[in-house]
Amino acid sequence: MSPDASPGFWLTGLAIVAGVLFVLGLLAAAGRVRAAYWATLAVCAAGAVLDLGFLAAGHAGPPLSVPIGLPGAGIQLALDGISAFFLLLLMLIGAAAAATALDDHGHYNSTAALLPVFIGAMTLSLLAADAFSLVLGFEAMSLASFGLVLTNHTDPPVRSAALLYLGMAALGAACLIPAMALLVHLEPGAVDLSFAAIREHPPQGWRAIAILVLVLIGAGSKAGLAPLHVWLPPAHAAAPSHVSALMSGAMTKVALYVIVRMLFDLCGPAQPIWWGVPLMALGAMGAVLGALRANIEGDITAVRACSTVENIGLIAVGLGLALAARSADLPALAALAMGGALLHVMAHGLFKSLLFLGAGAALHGAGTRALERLGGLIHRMPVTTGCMLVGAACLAALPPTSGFASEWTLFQAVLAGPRIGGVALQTLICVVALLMALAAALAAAAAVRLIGVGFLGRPRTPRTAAAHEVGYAAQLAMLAMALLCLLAGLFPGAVLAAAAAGLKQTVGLTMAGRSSLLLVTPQAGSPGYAAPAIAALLGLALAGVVWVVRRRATGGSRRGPAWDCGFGPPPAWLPFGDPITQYGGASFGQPLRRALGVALLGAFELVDMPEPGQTRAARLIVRSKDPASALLFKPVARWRDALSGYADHLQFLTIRRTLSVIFGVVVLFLLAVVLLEQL
Amino acid sequence: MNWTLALPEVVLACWGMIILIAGVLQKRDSFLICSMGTIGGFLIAAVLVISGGSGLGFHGQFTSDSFSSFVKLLVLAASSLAVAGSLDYNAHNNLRRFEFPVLILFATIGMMLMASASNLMTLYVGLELQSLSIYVLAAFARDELRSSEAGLKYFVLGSLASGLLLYGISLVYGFSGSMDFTKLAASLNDPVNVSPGLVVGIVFIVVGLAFKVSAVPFHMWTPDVYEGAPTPVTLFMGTAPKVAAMALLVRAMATPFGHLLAQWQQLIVLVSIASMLLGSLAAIGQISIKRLMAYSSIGHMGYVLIGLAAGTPVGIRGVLIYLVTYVFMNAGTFACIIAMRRRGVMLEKISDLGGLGKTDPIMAMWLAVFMFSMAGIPPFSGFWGKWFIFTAAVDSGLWTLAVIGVLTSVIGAFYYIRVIKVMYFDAPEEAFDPRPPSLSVLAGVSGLFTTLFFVFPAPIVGAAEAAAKVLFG
Repeated sequence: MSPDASPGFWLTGLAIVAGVLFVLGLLAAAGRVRAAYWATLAVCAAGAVLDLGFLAAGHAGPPLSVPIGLPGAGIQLALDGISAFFLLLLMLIGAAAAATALDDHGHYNSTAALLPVFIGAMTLSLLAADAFSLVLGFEAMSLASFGLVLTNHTDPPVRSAALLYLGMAALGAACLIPAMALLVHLEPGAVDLSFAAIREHPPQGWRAIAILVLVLIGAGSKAGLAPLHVWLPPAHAAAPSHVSALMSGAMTKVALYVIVRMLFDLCGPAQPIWWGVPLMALGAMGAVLGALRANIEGDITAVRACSTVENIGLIAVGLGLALAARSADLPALAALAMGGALLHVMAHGLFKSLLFLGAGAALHGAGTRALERLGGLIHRMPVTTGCMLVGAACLAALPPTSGFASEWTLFQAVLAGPRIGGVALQTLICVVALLMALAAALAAAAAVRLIGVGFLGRPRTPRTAAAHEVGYAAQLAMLAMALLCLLAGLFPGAVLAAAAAGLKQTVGLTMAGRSSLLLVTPQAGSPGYAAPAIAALLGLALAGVVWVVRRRATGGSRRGPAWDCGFGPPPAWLPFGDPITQYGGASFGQPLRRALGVALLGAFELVDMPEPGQTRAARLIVRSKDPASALLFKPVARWRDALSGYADHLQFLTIRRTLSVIFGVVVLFLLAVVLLEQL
Repeated sequence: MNWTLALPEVVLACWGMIILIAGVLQKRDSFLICSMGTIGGFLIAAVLVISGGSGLGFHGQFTSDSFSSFVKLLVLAASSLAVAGSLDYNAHNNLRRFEFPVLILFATIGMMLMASASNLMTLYVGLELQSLSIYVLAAFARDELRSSEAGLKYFVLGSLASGLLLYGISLVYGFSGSMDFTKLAASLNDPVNVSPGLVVGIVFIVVGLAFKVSAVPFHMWTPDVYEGAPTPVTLFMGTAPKVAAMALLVRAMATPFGHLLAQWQQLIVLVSIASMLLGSLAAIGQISIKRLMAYSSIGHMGYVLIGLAAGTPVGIRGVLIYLVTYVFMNAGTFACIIAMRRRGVMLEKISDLGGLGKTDPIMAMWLAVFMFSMAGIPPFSGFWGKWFIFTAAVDSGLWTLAVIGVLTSVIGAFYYIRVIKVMYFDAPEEAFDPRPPSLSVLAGVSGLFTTLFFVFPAPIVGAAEAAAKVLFG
């Protein structure tokens, strides 16, 4: 069979992977929890291999029709460059999450039924080749993740986080489904929902604008694009860590995939330049807001969730710029921006899930996720800390990590951006570049705070001092993710090669000639970023420093009491001084909080200082509120309640008023009929 | 005159008299035996409906065709479910009176007449027979303030609606000179015969019938009556009369006034949009599950009206399929609500369901199935009902309706899933009293239907298609 006539081996295999994942949920529901996790791990690994096979050798063949779903239409699945790229990330994270869940003795049993379904639903969203399947997969993903967020449902905060999440999912669906309906070509009698039919009639005029707005709200809310990111920190903090890893690493990317699929692919290239503006503006806003909040939050999972908001913002800037550049007919710049965005999708997906798995390990080993109670984990949990260091280095975008490679590419694109459009757009891009720089710096500070306070220093509680390393399966999962992060950082050219088909499909040009295994350049022939060379130089320098220190330093090291700022001798039960007096998360974030947080996040701090003579500890209480929550969510919730109340109010009218209302309506109806007659 | 066409109604009416006389003469408690007799009567009537012929009888006042058979079977099924649901409730709430099943039986005869009406007078008589029985049923717990209030409210507003309907009928008769559906259709085929007075009459008829299907803005009675009436009565009112009234609306709009689609379509569109919006918005803040179901039924009627607004055989097919799925998921939900009893006290707050997933996993599972189905989540039957309706709307170019329908379903999904969240994730309350077998069977049957509809939809879809075609000749 020729590759063009059949749906192809890789697609068929991946369709089976998706089907098996849905069935695995039943296996777990039947009580075979460990078997289900093992099978999920194996199926995800197989999926990753199949996907790599497609990226290396496959052609995008015709869609595969599955005879379930809508009568007459069924479900159509297809695989192309852009979906294969996102699918690879999903399969890798899915395997790591399943491996982690295997390790957690009994704690994660209740997630076994929904975890494979969650991954399967995301796979379906990525493979979907018609509007119905995409919405079906997306909504199944929302529902499954809602169930997973509710895993620890005995805690009231978890329940309220889940309810907020469900509300946001409903909002997303309420926008995404009409967007799909607007995309589908209206031909009474023969409505074809397949993407191929949609591509033939790209939307124009007000319909295109409506689709843009609806997609930005519908998929953007799921991706965590500001200002609809409010659900993200509480939901990630509420979910078990391996679920958070999937949600932050993979689910937000699936939402971005939907944005790419709808705005780049299905809406066609003939859209105005300003289409990129909302994505860039919202992205830059979210990047700064998320990075700043990451410096203020006290729960390590919430810190990471806020940093997700930041990174999604950066990716959105890349996507927006690519949209604008494509419309301005600058394919080279569009490819650079899109390449940076896709590179960051891969980088962020990998390192963020690594960080979430690490946070889960810290919770497992030290019994808490509060930054103020951790500390010194490097001694008790060396493997976890090592992996977290890799992840944090990516988060801080230190060369030669993957975070640096992708942010560098994004910055190259944004710095080349002022060639597009008029003065207003050029000014906007300059401002966006500045905000991105600010966000990157804030993210680096957040990474230092995370590692410095949580993993270095001395343990702040006895429980943390007695922390223990997680099991081998979870360690292996983290190590594998860390290795992938390092590889993606060392060879960003390879990731760009994997994205080549997707780039060709979305912006019409690949990074060929500008990226190789060893070098990525913004323009052909110009100097660029050579990650392996920089890594080698840094490695040499490090080896030199180690050698010099070894040669010149005195032998052996000794541990003594920490310097206690001139206070009296420590009590006998705390021979090294009170670890609470260490520099903590709140103190570390204080300069940034005072400089930016007060204005942007309404942050305030309260010092509860005991009277002289009292023995209780002094406390620093820090509060902040997200502007999106205060300015958008709370008013909307109030309107919703008011509206619902008004609707119910009709019930409590007296019988006279009820009758008057009915007569009024009858008169209105008659008037309407008369008017229609006149027309 | 071919009176055998009305054999099911005649037999059922005689059977109703016999049960009534037997109940009066019987000295001992005869609630159970009368209920069983009623269900038996429904079964016999169903057999007669299936085996009956088709044609016009009673000088064109009564028609029997595949549309009326479809609706009658559905109504008989819904009424049987309601009688089954009342067995345990009435026994526990001091309502063990044999009049209860007899009233349901007479209401059912009224509804069967409505399904077969081919004359405005038959239509009115059937509707009144049904309404009068239900006024009494709503106030059946006469010692209870809420129930009496519900009955009175329903009665006052219902009589108003009947008045409007009658006024509309008289206008139509006055301006066209006929009450017969076929003659009306023939005469209205010619635009010369369409006078403004006739259109006003049609508006009044639409308003009167919209009241019976509790479409916004004529829904004011629904939440209070649903909440106040005894729950089995609510089960009954939420299923069979809705089906009959909707069938009547469909037949009246499609057959005699089918040529005036342009005149009434916009009204139906308006009512449908208002019902969907109000049904989904007002339900958000509800605490009582019965009120929630009231708003949910308002919303569902909004979806059904989309199919009518389409005004095509495909749209009517969607209406009929939706009604089938609606009856079963509604009956199942109310079976679960009737089973909400703790130490003999009936409960109806949503929060009372807390932890049901632990204390009674089977009931929680069925209730979850019904909620998912009402929210329109595949593969449950509710999704397919919506699917047939929305595709019909799209085929007729009613995009606005389809999009608003999807939007409100999504909003609706929020509060249905909230019920599921309460059952599975909230702190467990004390367990409910053991479920009586009648309710288990009721929930099980409805639940299986709702879950497995997608496996064998063909018979129902085929029957609905045949029924819809009849109306369009």
